[in-house]
Amino acid sequence: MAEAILYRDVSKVFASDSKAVLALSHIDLAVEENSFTTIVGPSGCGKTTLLRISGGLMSPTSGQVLYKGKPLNGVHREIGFITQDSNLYPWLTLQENVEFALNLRGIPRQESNQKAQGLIQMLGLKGFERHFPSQLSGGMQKRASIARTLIYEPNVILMDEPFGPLDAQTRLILQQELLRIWNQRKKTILFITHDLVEAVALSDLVVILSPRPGRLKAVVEVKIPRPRNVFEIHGMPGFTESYGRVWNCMRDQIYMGTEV
Amino acid sequence: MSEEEYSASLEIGGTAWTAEPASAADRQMVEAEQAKARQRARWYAAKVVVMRILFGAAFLALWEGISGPWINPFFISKPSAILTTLIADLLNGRIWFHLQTSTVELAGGYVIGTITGLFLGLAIGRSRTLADVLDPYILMLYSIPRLVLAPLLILWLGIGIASKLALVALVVFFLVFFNTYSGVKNVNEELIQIARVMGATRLQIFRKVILRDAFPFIFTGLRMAVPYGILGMVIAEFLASNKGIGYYIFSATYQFDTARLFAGIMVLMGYTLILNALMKLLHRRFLRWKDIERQEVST
Repeated sequence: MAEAILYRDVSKVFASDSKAVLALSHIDLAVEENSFTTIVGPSGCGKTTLLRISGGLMSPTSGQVLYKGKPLNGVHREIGFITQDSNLYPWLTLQENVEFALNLRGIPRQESNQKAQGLIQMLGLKGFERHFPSQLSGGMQKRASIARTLIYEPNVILMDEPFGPLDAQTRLILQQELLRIWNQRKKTILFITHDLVEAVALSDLVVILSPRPGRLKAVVEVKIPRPRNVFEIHGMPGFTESYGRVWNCMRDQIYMGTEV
Repeated sequence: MSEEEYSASLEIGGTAWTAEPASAADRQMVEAEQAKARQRARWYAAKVVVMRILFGAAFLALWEGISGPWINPFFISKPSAILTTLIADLLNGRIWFHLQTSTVELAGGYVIGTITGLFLGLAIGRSRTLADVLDPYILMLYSIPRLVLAPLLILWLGIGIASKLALVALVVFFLVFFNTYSGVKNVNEELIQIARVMGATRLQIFRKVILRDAFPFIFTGLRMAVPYGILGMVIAEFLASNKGIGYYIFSATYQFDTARLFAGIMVLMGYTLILNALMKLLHRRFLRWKDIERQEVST
């Protein structure tokens, strides 16, 4: 399989007049097309920075990021970005939010309406089209932000702890739906999380970063067969082994963390 | 109510009861409570309207009653005399003549002030360097009470419409500019990033994200500009003019015509009422989401 994103010796320094921080140090990584990759690591290890660099929202201090073999140059339109806060436009209704990207592209109203309806249906948001984001629960807001990303069919979706603020049950439901959607429309997903079970349950590849500066500590391949059932992921073949390997890499860091 | 609306209406604290349809008895109970709550709300609204009218009528009756036997009408006139003068001057065209001038001053100044305020507020608010360089000057300008510039404007532009229009524009400009500036500075950057990822052009980001996110602030400026704009216009007309509602009031004062003076004040109140109604329309069109957000937070 071809690589969707290739990181070549990527480093990032954040410098201001009062201090300079090395956020990422010499990351070499290949993310395969249509794969599901999660990035885990302690807080402040540069996960979000890596994601922003992948989307061209930030450029690396040194090194290179290639998208389908070509160097990234600024924001590119083939990515979708789903953040921890759902960041829907509060002045637009759910349906208008979902249609926003098509609206920007000047797609005719009727066509964008139709597409939005399909996604609203698919994500179980029927009946809430005319609600404003503040009238939706956290889970529904998240569904809406997924729908508004899917509508313009990006090849790569970057997700920055998308399910972090949700309650445990909603979280499981959305994880399962994300897998279903990903299975239906093949996309490359780069997913950041703190939750090791979530990482193992969802992905093909778990990338583990060390505490700051973020270095590539390990890459664990998850060999749980698909389709997966996240509700019973603990019982699926290969889970214990994959989880064990991820946990082994994280253990030292987490113990280190408790001493502080 | 359709099934969908019904389940949407049952949304409580962010959890919708969509999983299981409510039983007929439960639905009946919820709908009965809803009907009772509606009835209560309607009664209350009616009560408020009636009490309002009574209060206003009592005030006018008191005014009418004490003017004459208790207080010399020379000072406070009386409602009936004011109404007579107002109607007479409306019918003989006198008010219309002055109203035309004032409306040109007010509308022209408001439009010019709003456009320049919006434009500069957006430009300076989005450019860090411009904002940093100009910040102390903006504060200095802001600390000048705008109305003291009226004599200067009259000196520059004469006693005609131009000086009044300029003062209104100046007053409106500062309110709109300052609010736009702070609104734009507080725009949620993540909303901009997401639009960029979706392929928005710079112009689209300005129009569809920054302007909309800053609009609650901008609207505050627009709304405050209504009474201040009217004040600016009247003050400039008081100072030096030969037409306009301010002149109408001022000349009534010189003729010791208290009823006409009050009639002029009534006309100014009319202005405010009409412009506030326009503001309400604007609010309903662009800021309904904000009201809903506030309600959601408080429940």
